[in-house]
Formats: sequence, structure tokens, C-alpha cells
Amino acid sequence: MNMIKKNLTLILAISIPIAMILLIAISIYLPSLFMNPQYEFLYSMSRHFIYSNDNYVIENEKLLLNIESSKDGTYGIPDMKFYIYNTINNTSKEISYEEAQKLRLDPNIKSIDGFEIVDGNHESGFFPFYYSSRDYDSHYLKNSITSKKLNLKVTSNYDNFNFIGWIKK
Amino acid sequence: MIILILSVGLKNNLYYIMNKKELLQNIKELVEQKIITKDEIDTAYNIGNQGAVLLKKKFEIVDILYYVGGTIVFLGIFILVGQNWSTLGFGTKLLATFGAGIVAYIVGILFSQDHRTETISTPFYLISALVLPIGLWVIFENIMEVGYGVQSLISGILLITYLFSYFVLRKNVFVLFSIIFGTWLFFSFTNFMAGSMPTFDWQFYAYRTLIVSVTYVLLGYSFSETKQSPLKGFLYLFGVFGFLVSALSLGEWEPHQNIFWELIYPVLVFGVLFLSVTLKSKIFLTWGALFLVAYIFKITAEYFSNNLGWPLALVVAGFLMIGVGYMFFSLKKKYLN
Repeated sequence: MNMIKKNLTLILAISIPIAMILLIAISIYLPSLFMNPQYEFLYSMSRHFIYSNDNYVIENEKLLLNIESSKDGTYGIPDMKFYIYNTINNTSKEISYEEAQKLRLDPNIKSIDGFEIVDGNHESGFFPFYYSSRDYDSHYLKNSITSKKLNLKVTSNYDNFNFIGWIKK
Repeated sequence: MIILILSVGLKNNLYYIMNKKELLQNIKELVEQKIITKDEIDTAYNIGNQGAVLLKKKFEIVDILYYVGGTIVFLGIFILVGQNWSTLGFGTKLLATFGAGIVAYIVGILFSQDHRTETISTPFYLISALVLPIGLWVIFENIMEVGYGVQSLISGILLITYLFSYFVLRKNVFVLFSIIFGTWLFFSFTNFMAGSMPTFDWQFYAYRTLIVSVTYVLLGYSFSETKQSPLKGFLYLFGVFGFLVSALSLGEWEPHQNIFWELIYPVLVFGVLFLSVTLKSKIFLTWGALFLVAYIFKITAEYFSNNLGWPLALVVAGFLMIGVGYMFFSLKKKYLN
């Protein structure tokens, strides 16, 4: 007991970083257990960058491709593949353009229940020189508390992810 | 190597225990025979204590040269291996890095055995601490992809090695290396846990720096009355600086400012200034005054430069700076000199 009292500051000094590690572990794993997104979303994968408005538009909750730009092939619309992402099971299901057109879509970045799709962080460096940048190869479903990595259908390294809209129920 | 450390450590500790016991027994006998008085013992203790302070000051200057020398040797090895990296095989790389680190460590232990060469052991320990991480990196790079998991392993191995070395050999330099490798382990392991999660952005670094800084200050305080007291200055210097820098950065800038950190910041700075008096620390006072000035400039530029106009805001900030300067001078004169 006297030993603890005598070295209280030292024990406190060592305990604080350990407590933070535990806190980080809890903040990563605990909120994800209670993460309950309500909406699925539609996304596309293409070997070319897809620009919303230039290549597609959501009009009256329906997806419409810009045929003019797809005709000359500038933006690579022909190789575009559509997927529905199930946010609960973390799975993707490929659908045709015709099927995608039948969906009721919400083009807002944030879903009604407060989720959005964001890029991951790319941490690099060596102690004590660390730096972080955006990781365009990883994507997350994120709300104000926590985030979950998306398991997207990537068939090649050249695939570009493009979020189209939240699927309305 | 472990057997060498253990045998040397055991020998040193037994030597000191035996000598101390004999000395105390002799003093007891001399007091019983009334040959020596309490005042004489106190005087001898005080002279010895002053001598230790003088020796410490001399040691600090020599120590700088040793550390610079050790760093230069490390740079030499680093550049030599770096320039020939593509042509060197795994065995050569391992020998030039891990092998050199182990040899430097053993040479350090051997030098520390003789009191005439004991101080030269420090730069060899430094060389080992700088080269061994590269050696371990060479090993891990050969078997797996190097990421934060591997960085955690390397720093963890080195932390255990130097902690073990300290407990056996009782040298302060090992405490310093343990703190540095412990900090590296903390950052790399938390990076490994967070992965690429977007919720862990730059603020994650700021909060972790805050925690590490508080730890440094607490370690410095707990060392103040022990044999590790020479490390107190280093720990306070980086601890207070890291704490105030990270807290200031967490306040961010308008329109993304964090009101909590902006409001709490002056309380933290005055807390540091208060501690400078309690702990009689010039480091706390200097950093506290400098960061109070930084905070005044930040708040003036952020909120008052548009309303008052930039020149008038500068006048206000200037007067406040004079006030901080006077406070610094008064506190130093009254409590620290």
C-alpha cells in the first residue's frame, strides 16, 4: 500500500496512456455494435471517373443517364456497373441499368438517418514524423459517432467508386 | 547478451549493497564511540550533494558531445547502408544494422564496467538505440509488409529490451530510451487500431499528443526526488510544450473553432503558470508565458481583427504582451530566483 502511495504519480503516468488505448478500443468496437443504418444505397463502379450532372442526373427520384456524353464515350459510361449496397449485411448486389432506373433515389449526401459515405484516412510516416491524407481506395459508412468500412465490389485496381443515391423505402 | 547484462547487473548491485552496508555500520560505530557528530555527518552529506550537482553540470556538457558523436556515427551507418541499399544482400544489411546495434550495445556494457570509461558507454548505448530499430525493420521487412503493426512490434521489442536493461544495469539513459520507445509504441499501436477509419483524423494526433505530454509531466514529477531527476528537465520541456501546442491546435480557427478548447485554454495556461511557482520550474513559466502570448495573438487575429481593424488589434495584443512580459519577470523574480 505504501509502495503504491509512494509511486502514485508514476503509476498515474503509466496508466493514462494505457487507459487511452482502452478508450480507443472501446470507441472503435462498441459503437459499431449499435450501428443500425436503415437505408441501402446505389453506387456504380467504372474504370473512368464519373461526374454527377455531367453523366447522370436524378430527376423525380429516378436515375437518368446523360446519353450525349455516353455516346462519345468521353466519360466511359458504357463500362459502368450498378450495385445496391446492403448497409446491414455489408454486401453488394449487381443490378442492370434498367433495374436501377426503377429505384426511388435520394441524391443527398446524408441519408435521412444521418449516414454518409466518406473516404478513409491514409496514415503514413515513422515516429515522430506522422502525416495523414485521404485514402481514395477505402470507403466508409459514417455517422456522427462511428464508421464502418464498406465492402465494395472492386473487380480491378482501376475501378472508381461513385455514390449515386440512397434508396428510398 | 542477456546473460552478459544479468551478470554485470548482479555484480554492480551486490557491490553497491555491500559497500553501503559496511559504510553505514562504520558510521554507527563511530557515532557510538562519539568520534563523529551529527553536524559533521550533515556537513559531509551537503558537500557530497553539492559535488553531485557540480559533477552533473560538467557531465551535461560532455554528455552533449557524446550524444552528438553517437548521432554522427549513426548517420554514417545510415548513409552508408542507404547509398548501397539496392546492391546489398539481406545478410549484409542485417549485419550492418542489427549487428552494429548489438555490437554497440555490448561495447556500451563493457565500457560501463570500468569507472574510467563508464561515461563513454553512453554514446554506444545511443548508437544501439538508433541502429537497432533499423535492424529490426530489415528483419521484419524481409518476412512481412511493414505497417503500423510492425512498427508496434519493433517499438515494443525495444521498449522491453531497454526497460529490462534499466532494471538490471540501473542507468538513466535506458529510462530515456524506454520513454522514447514507449511513446513510439503508443502512437504506432493506436494508429494500427484506428486503421483508415475516417473518425480518427488529425485531432486524433492532437489528443494523443496531449495524453503523452501529460504523461511526460507526471513522469518528470515522479522522477524529481529520485536518481532519474536529470531526466526531469527533458520531460518537462517536451511535456509542457506538447500539452500547450496540442490544446491550442484543438481550438482550431474560425469558422471551425472549437469553443470548449478556446475557452478552456487560458485556464490551462494559467494552470501551467501556477505550477511553475509550485514546482519552482522555469520551463513551466517560460512555456506558459510564450503560449499565453500565442493565445492572445490567435484570439485577437481570429475575432478582433475584423471588428477593431488589424492595426488596433495589434495595439491591444502588444499591450497584453507587455503585461505577460511583466508577469513573467515578476513571477521569476519573486518565486524562482
